[in-house]
Amino acid sequence: MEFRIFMKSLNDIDVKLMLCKSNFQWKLLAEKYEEASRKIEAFYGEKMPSELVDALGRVRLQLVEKKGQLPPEDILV
Amino acid sequence: MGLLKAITDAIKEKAKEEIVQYLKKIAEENAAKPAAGNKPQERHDHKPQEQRHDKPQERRDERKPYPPQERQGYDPNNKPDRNDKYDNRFDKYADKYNDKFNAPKYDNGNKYDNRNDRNDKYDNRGDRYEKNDKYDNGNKYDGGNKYDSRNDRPAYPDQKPLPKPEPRPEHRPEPKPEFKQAERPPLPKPEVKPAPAPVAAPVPVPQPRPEIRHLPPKKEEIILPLNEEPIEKVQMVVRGDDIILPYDLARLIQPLPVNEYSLYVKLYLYSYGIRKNYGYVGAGLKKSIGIDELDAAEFGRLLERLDKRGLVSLEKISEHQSTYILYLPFDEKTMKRVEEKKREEEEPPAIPAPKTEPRPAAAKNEPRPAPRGKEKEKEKTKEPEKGRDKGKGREPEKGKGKAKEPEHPAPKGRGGRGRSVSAPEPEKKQPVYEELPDEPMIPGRSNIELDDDGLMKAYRTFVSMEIDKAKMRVGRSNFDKIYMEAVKYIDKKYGFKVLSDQERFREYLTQYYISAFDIPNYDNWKKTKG
Repeated sequence: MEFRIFMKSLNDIDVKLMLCKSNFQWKLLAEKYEEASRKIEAFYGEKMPSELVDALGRVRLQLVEKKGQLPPEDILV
Repeated sequence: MGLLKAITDAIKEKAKEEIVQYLKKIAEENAAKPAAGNKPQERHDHKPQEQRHDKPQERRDERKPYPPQERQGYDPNNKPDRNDKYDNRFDKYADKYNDKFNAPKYDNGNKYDNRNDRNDKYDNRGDRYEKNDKYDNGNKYDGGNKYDSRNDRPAYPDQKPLPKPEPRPEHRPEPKPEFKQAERPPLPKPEVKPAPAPVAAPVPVPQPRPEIRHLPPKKEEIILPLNEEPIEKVQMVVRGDDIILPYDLARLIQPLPVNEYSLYVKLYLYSYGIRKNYGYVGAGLKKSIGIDELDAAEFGRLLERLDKRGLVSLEKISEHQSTYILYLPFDEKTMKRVEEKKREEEEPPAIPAPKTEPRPAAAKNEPRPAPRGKEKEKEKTKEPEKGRDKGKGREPEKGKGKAKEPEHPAPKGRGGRGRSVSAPEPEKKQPVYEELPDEPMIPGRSNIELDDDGLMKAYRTFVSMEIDKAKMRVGRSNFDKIYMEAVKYIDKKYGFKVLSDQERFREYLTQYYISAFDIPNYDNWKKTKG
């Protein structure tokens, strides 16, 4: 049951990331991802299911790619 | 349903008729019995029982092996012995049998002498019993299908007028919608609508009018420029915590509408916050200046109006991105033009302090770079004169920024703008003022009196400009790719959390750009600055 909840939270982030259009939204999603990751690690510890590990890596990669696609408001220019 | 109802009604009527006929017959029979009254009363009393036992008697008649006439010559004395008991046993009934079979017939209510005659009576029965006649009437026998024989029977006259279509229209749905339609008109809904309409009619009438009035002015809106001076990209150094708003500028923007005024002031303060007067237009800018809730369209409209007023220069670099340059009264003490800075960086030997002294004058005398494109270049030749003229008019009245005046009682000319020049012949006097020792205050110079913090700020400005240059050099799309690679690199090296931390991300991103675009680091840059 917890596994499904965790997977759903990660999938939600994945879906919402497709609609993300600003750095502010991205930041919120990143915070959600970090919270989900922290909960998963706290729940499973070292014995984290491989599917969750894959999902975490996938969502993280997509978050990073999205960050790169967003307008670079953080640069000094 | 109507058909079934009609059939049931017809059956009921038939049953009634048959019952009436049957009762009449019974009544006739009852009436005929007393007329035939030769019979004793006792017999008459037993008649129902005999009628009730008609069938058993008939069966007995059929079973009887000997007719009663043969029985008349019977001698009881000659009977066989073995039947004695039997005969004796029925002796007591013998009279009855004799009476029944031998005695003269009496009217027991059964008018028919034999069974066949009695069955004929039932041929006249009602239709409801006709189903049993299939065995009696050979012509109508259809092999046991009684329903076919029913259909062959003659129709009753009462059935003909059966109004089959009459009940149907009662159940047809046609009258229902008619009934509803009849109800609908009295409903208040359609009537209510017209009622408020006249009430609301006068209200909307004035509403569209102002809209119509507003539209043409929008199209024909002519915004006269408040400022005709060129707008340049500058970078400034902020000393202390104060942000100075020159009096001239305050008076210049005073006639602005509230929205434009507030937007300009916000941009002004923001420019001092980021130490430059240019940047990208977008949600980030809105958020940074504290008007995140303002609609993007409205924000763009206000910027366009400021652009028309000459207080902001908008430049569209792509379909979805544009940049802005905010007009700032140039102050040589705290500001540095980006173009000049670039030139200085391109010519490193000219940067040292002793050699840089004539440069500002030369730079000021040279035609300025065009921040607004070709139009600005054309204006440059004229604007310096205009600016000087303006400066002539304004200087004696207002002077410059309050904080700057005491430090520089005779401020140098602002390059082509000439605001600070108070002499009637600025071109002749410019070199005189330019030679005055104010250059060390220009940021970015090697002989700037800056402490380490100031130097670091100058270095940051330098890096920012280098990144600007690199962006223009590699192109927007390539720069975006580099940005994406930088994000991935930062994620791998410093972790995902850094991406959410704006300050740290900015720091690491700058480091990435420094290494990617071969920008000298702080130590090397410091060495070059001497």
